Amino acid sequence: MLLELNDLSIRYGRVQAIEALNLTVGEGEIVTVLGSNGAGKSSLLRAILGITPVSAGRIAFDGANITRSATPQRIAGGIALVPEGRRILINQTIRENLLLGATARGAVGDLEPELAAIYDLFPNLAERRDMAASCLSGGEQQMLAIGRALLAKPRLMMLDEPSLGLSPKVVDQIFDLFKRLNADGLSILLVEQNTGKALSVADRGYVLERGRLAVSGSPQELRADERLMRAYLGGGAGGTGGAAPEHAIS
Amino acid sequence: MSGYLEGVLVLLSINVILAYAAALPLSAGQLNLGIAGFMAIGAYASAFLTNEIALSMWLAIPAGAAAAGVVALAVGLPILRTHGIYLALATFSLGEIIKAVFLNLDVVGGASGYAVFDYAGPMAVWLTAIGVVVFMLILSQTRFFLYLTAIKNDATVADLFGLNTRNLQLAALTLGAVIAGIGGGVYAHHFSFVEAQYFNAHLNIFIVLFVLLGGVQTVYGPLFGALFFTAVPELLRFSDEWRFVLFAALIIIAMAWRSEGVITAKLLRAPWRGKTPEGARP
Repeated sequence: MLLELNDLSIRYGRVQAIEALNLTVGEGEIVTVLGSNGAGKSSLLRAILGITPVSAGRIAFDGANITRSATPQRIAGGIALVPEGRRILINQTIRENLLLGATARGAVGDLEPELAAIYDLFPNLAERRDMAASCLSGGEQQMLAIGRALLAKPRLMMLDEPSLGLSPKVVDQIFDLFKRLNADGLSILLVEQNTGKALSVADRGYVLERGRLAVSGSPQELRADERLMRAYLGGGAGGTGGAAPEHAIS
Repeated sequence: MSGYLEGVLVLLSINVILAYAAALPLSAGQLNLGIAGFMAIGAYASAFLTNEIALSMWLAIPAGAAAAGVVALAVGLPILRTHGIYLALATFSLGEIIKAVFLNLDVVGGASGYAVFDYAGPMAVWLTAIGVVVFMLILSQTRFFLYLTAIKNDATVADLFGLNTRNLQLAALTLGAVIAGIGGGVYAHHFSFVEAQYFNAHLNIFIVLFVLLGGVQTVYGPLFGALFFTAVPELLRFSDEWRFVLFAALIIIAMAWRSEGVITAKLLRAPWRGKTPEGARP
């Protein structure tokens, strides 16, 4: 297994964000984590990167225990996060934003060949490489955020709500991109609220409910699961449709 | 060159050095209101070395700057635990403490001031300022500078990419102090006299204003700010008694008109690159 979480718990003061979660991502897999707002999905990704401390449990990456490793070591080891809301530095140029991605793995020397590879992948960014990122549309900013993460040379790319605020057409584009990157060997851990889209690319999925694992399985199994349908699609077969708000932490 | 113009250019050079001393920490988001304190350390330390042990000015000024840097390193960790307005207040207090220490330090003349015997001519002052500008131009192209900008703009991004925020902040504070120390050393050796009262709150506020008026987005902003604050009072000499009223009004107008600073990244990019082609967006 590339990533393996054993009985992982995260708490903020008295709030339990994640409780005793077991999750794995295999080499070359796309795994999705689904759940409503406040289910603990973002906390989970931040903990895997080492920004949020874990209160119990174990994180292993490529067989090594990284539970107590510092963030730069984890990134250098091959984990990158495309954060929720993209977090682009809009006053900096596209090139500068991309360079930030190469930081944590301690990249030194000439990065031009690596930048060129990213520009090949995103011609839209190439044209405006020396312009401030504020000139990009939402979809292009998402692509910049993905390009920035790719410059960290990850083996596992984690994405937090990449479809947020994007048009369906752009969402299709970036999900196609995930499939292409995955075909080239990149493993992906995808957190999404766009359940249908996430399940369409994923090999396996986990559903979190207030920090606990509710269900996990293949996309087919999850699609057939009545609890999931109720929670996400506003009432499945025989569902009341009232389940989702109950799960939200206000 | 007339003595007057020479004098104004010397003043401009020292203001440019001080502007960059404030701009460097500001590019990491630190409003340092104690630059004059670090300048005082550079001034007194270098003057002491040339006066008492007859060290060459060219060694004494860097040594004085290093002393300012050492002090910044020593106080940096506790001071950088504060943020925003509290950091400004902490650095302001530090500047006042440094001033008070020199005011009471009899070995460098205490309240009566300290005469400096070695002399740095105008050319030396100008070249030092040019050196600082070139250093900043080079630094602004480095990834180190990009990291500082990232820390200022989005602490979360800095975390995500594993930037060592604490060390980078400490480096920005220290480098700013070193530049201020260079400014102090050059000041002391050009004007041949240092007194502690000169390094006061008024000077600290003006140094920060150079940068805020010029703009922090680009490396040229502080240069413009220093130029504005040096040249405009001179140009307004025609109206003796109204000079400082006009000057203050111009500062307010400039800040209201260009709230991001007069020199912005957009301003420098616009003329020769043209507008973003709207059609290029998906």
